[in-house]
Amino acid sequence: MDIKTDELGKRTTVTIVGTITFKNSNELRVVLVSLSKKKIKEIYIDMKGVEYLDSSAIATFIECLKITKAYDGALILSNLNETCKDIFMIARLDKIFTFE
Amino acid sequence: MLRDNKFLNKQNKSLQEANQEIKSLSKLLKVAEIIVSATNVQDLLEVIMRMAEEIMNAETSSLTLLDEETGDLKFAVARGEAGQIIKGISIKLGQGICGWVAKTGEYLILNDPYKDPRFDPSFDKASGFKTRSYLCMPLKTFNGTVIGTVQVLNKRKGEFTNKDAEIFTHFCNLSAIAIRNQQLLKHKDEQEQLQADLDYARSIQQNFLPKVIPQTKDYYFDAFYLSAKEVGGDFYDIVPLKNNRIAVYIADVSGKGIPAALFMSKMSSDMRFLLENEKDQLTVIEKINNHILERSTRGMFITLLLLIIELKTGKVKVFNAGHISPLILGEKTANIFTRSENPPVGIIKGIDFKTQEFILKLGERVILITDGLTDIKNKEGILIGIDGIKKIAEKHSTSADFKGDFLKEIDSRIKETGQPDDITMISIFRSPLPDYRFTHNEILIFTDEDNTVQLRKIILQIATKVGFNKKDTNLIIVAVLEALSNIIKYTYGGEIGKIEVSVSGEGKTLKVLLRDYGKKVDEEKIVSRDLKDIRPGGLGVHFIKEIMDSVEYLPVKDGNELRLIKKVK
Repeated sequence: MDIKTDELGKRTTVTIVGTITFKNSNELRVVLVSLSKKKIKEIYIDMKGVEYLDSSAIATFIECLKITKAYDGALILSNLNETCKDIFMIARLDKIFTFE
Repeated sequence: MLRDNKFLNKQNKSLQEANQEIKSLSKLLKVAEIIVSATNVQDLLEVIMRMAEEIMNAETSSLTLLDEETGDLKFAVARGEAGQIIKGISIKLGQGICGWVAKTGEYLILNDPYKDPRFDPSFDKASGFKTRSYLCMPLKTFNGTVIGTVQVLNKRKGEFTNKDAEIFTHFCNLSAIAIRNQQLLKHKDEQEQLQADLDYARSIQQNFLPKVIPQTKDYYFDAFYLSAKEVGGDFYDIVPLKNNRIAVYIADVSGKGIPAALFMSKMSSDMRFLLENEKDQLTVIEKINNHILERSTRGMFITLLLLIIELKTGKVKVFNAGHISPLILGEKTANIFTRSENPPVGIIKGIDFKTQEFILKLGERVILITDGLTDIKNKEGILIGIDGIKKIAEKHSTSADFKGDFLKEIDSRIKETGQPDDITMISIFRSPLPDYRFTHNEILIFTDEDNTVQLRKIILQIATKVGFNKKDTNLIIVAVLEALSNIIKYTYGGEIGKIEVSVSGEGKTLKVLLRDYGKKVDEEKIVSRDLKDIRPGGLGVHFIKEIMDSVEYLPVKDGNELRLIKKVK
C-alpha cells in the first residue's frame, strides 16, 4: 500500500493506492491520526487507487472521523470504487461519512 | 567404696546409653533427609538398608515388601553375599519370622533364633550365613497398614534390645512412608505411561488415514472420521488405480485398544499395496483374508467394504465382507444397497467371496459408514440403525455441503446421547453435469506471512467460474479476508499459526472452509456489534454474515473449522 500526503492550505490530500487490510491498516492509522492531531481543517482522502478495504480500514476511518468532528474539521472520502462503496454500505456507514 | 563404684558404674552406663541414643537419633535425622530426597524406589531401598545396618550396628539386613497382587512378602533388598540367593524369594503371610511380623504388625527380637520354631533355617543353609541374632520390624504406614518388613541380623556387639527396637521403629516408620510414596508415584507414572502408549498408538493409526483425498473431474470424494475415546479400529482409504478407476474402502477391526489399532495399520498398508499391484480385486480380498488369518490373534477379524469405481461409466464393483451395506442417495431418497452374504475377513480360510455391482448415476451419492453411526442412540435409548442414517442422509440430500451438514447433525446427536464407537463416513458424489465441480484448492496460510494475494486470485478464479459478478466476487473476497483476520487476531492472538483455506465451486455454490488449530471459538461469544453504535472494531463478523449466505462452524476435534457458503442468485 502506498500513502502520499499533500498539504495545500487548509486541505491536506491523502492519496492511497493498493488494498487496505488488517495487515497494513496501522500504517494508514498513523498517518491519519497525526493529521487530525494537527487539527487540519479538511482531510481529503483520494481512494481512486484502492481496490478494496476491510473492517480494520473502516475502523481507522471511524477513528479519524471522530477526532476531526471534535475540532469541527472535515474528513472527505473520494473516488471510491463500487466494491469500497458496498463495503461502507454493509457497515451502514454510507450515510455517516462524506463522500465525493 | 563399693557402693560408690556401683553408683558410678550405673551413672557411666546411663551416660553411655544416652550417648548412644543421641548418636542414633542424629543418624535417624540424616536418614530422614536422605529418604526424602531419593527419587526411585530401588535407590531408596538400598539407602534404607545401609542406614539400618549402621544404626543397629548389624552385620546385614534385608527388606521384604508386600506384593499387592499375590498377598505374599517378597524380598526386595537382601544385602551381603547371601543377598543374591535370597532376593526374589516369596514368603507367605504368617510364615516364618517375616510372615509373622507382617501379619501381626508387631516386631520380633530373636537373640537365639534357632530355638524359635518360627525361625526358618533354610535360608542360612542355602547361603552359608549363620544367624546369631535377629530383629524384624514391620513397615507400617501412618494408618497402621503393613507394607513389608525390615530385618537386621547379627548385632556386632551384644544382642538386640527393646531399646534398639524403639529406635528402629522410628526408622522403619519413616522408611515405610517414603516407600509408600514411591510406590504410589510409580503407579501414577504407570498410568501416565499407559495413556502415553494409547495416544501413540492412536497417532500411528490416524497417520494411516488419508490426509489428502484425491479428487477427479466429475466425482467428489469427501470423508470424516471421529475417533472414540479408546483407540478404535476404523479405517478407510481412497486409492487411485490404473485405467481411470479408483478404489474406496472402509473397514472396522473387531476389538479395541493398541492391538486393534496396530493390526489395522498393518492391514491398511497391505491393502494399498495389493490394490495398486493386483489386477483383480477379488485376488486382493482373498489375499487380505489369508494375511489376516495368519496374523490375527485372539480371533480378531475385520469387516471390509471395498468399492472399485470405473470413473467414465459410473460402474461400481462392490466387495462387501461382513460390513454395513452402502447407501445410495438420489435427489430425495436413499436406498440401502443389497445385503452381502460374505463373512468378515480373517475368519475362514480360502473363502469364495461373492461380488456385487451397481451403476452410480449422475447426481447420485454413495455413502459408506461404520457401525459407530448406526449404533448412535436416539433420545429413547434405541439405536438409530441404518434406517436412522438413511433418514439423516435424505434430510441433507440437496445440501451445498453434504459432509459438513451430515457431520453437524451427527455431532449434535452424539453430544446428546454419546459416541458409541469410532465414526467414519465416506461420501462419493457423481456430478450431475459436466464441469459441475471446479478445482478444490487448499491454500496454506501462516499468520506471520502475507500471502493473501494467492488466496484472492483463487477466490476470483472460482467465483467467476461459478458465475458470480465482479461486485459479488469482491465482496466474497472481503468476507473471506475478514474471517482470516479474525482467526489471526483472536484465535491465534498474535502467535504463529497455520490456517488451511479451501475454496471450491460446485454448481451454483461457492464454499470456503477455514481451518485453524488454535483455541476453540465460543460461538456464543461471537456477536456482531450493534451498528448504531459507531465506533471502530467488531465489524468483521457483521461483514461476513451480510455477504455470505451461510456462516457456520463445523465440528472438529482440535481448533476450528469455519464454513462460508454463497450461492449465485
